[in-house]
Amino acid sequence: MPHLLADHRVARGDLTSPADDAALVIAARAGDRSAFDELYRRYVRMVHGVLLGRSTRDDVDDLVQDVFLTAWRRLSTLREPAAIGGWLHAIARHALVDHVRQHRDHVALPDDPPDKSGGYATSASDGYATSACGFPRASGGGWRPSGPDTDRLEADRALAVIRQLPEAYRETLLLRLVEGMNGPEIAARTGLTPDSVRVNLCRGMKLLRSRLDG
Amino acid sequence: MADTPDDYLWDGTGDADVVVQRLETVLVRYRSADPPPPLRLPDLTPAPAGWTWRTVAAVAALLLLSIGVSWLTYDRRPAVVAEPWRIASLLGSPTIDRAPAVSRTRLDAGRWLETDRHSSAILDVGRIGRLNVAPQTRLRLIESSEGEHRVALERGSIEAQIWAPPGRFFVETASATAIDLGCAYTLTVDDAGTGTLSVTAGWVGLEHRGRESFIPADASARTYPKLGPGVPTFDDASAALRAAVRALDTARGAEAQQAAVDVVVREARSQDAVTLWHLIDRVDRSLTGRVIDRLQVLAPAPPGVTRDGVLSGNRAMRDKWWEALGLGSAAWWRTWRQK
Repeated sequence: MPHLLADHRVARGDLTSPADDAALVIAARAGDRSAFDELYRRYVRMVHGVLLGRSTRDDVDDLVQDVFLTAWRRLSTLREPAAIGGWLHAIARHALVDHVRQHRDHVALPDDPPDKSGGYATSASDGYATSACGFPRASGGGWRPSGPDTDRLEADRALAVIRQLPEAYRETLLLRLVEGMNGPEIAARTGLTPDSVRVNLCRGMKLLRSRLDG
Repeated sequence: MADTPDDYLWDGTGDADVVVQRLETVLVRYRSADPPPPLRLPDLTPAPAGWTWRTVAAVAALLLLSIGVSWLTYDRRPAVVAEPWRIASLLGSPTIDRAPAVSRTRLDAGRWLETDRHSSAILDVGRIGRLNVAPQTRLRLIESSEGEHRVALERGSIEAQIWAPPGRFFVETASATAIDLGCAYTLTVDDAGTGTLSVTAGWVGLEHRGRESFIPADASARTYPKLGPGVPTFDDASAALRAAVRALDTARGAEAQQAAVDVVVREARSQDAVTLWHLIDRVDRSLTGRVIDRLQVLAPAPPGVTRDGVLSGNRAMRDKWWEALGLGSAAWWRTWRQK
């Protein structure tokens, strides 16, 4: 199997430097919408990944728009143009907090619940059992490659488990496993240090493995 | 090194990890669209060219009127450099200095905002954030300037969301000062002055007379009058660990702390390293070694950090160990001190 990450990186362009971003921020502040569009293009995956941590896929797209709209309106308050990544990261987290607060009673997962015919297996005999939160849980800890229904089942379950992890692990893993960003890119886009991302990836993945196997 | 991911997890190179690869394969369905949907920004372009002379005249008249009003009402106070605090919305009848407040009312420095059991308010913190003020809360704005917003929470509960850089927003309570480090959090103070801080996103620093705690997202900490901030615990840590840490917050002396340290050492998971790190200088010196040893197992010290060094109070080593926990740079989270 080819390395998905490498393919994705080629498809979406290489990492840019904070200095490039700063020039775009300065231009955007002066009203250059194309500069802000470029910032959007560079950071949309990071924002999307953060927002996916606690909102439905339907809501994520609207929230992404809200985050960048907020950033556009408040761009003048950003003191360090090169810190745009950390700033957008913070805005995305705040948007998510708002969203969760407004939907406290809304059970959001999974995004695409399978229908009954192709739905979650509930019998342990087919390798899955339903967990307490209603999501299938692998019995035996194995990942079983098979058809599209199983893929969706695994995706829903993996996403549900990731969403239960502490924030630092949750975000890093979503950016790595869902958005296809690599470690250095996650660090550059979120403003975290590479060391922090390394540790979060490692510990988060350990925790994810144990919970998927549990 | 225990906390170093393999190459494939880090940057997609090296031998593929089958579990990671499988997760990538199935989770791609949730990935953001490529190319992303167009960004819908409001049209902020200058006025269209097709303005009539009547429109231009009306705008000019309004401008003249506003200049005139400004001139007449100018009171020669220094220019306001920061956006003021204002009530964005309210429920019930909050008061400012005992007078009924209404939406968009400005909260000036020195004024008290109070809510009763039937009222609440949402405040715009200048341009840097938002504060939800819960019922039965009393707070006073101390300072609102471009570089610093500071409020005193006497009692009650606030929910803060701050998008300014770290160290611009402070909440003073009887038992500690909460320093925003880029975050969202809830802070509650009871009538005795004991505080409870729960962080939803980012980080919050707590400080009182040199005693400091750093609370990450999904964690909480107490603050105590005369003692200052307690030790943070993750909300999903075991109930036994959380109870033991609360006991350690106020217990003094090895005898009083021994049983609680036993529980913490037994119950701590790798993610509770942040709790153990704080306990290093909070427990009796005779118990510090046990805390260090457990931390070493869960999150091994980086090169250059020794047990004896940490035990003897070497701040640089302790900071270095902190950085190895993957929670951000110690230099970064102490930046607010230099402001």
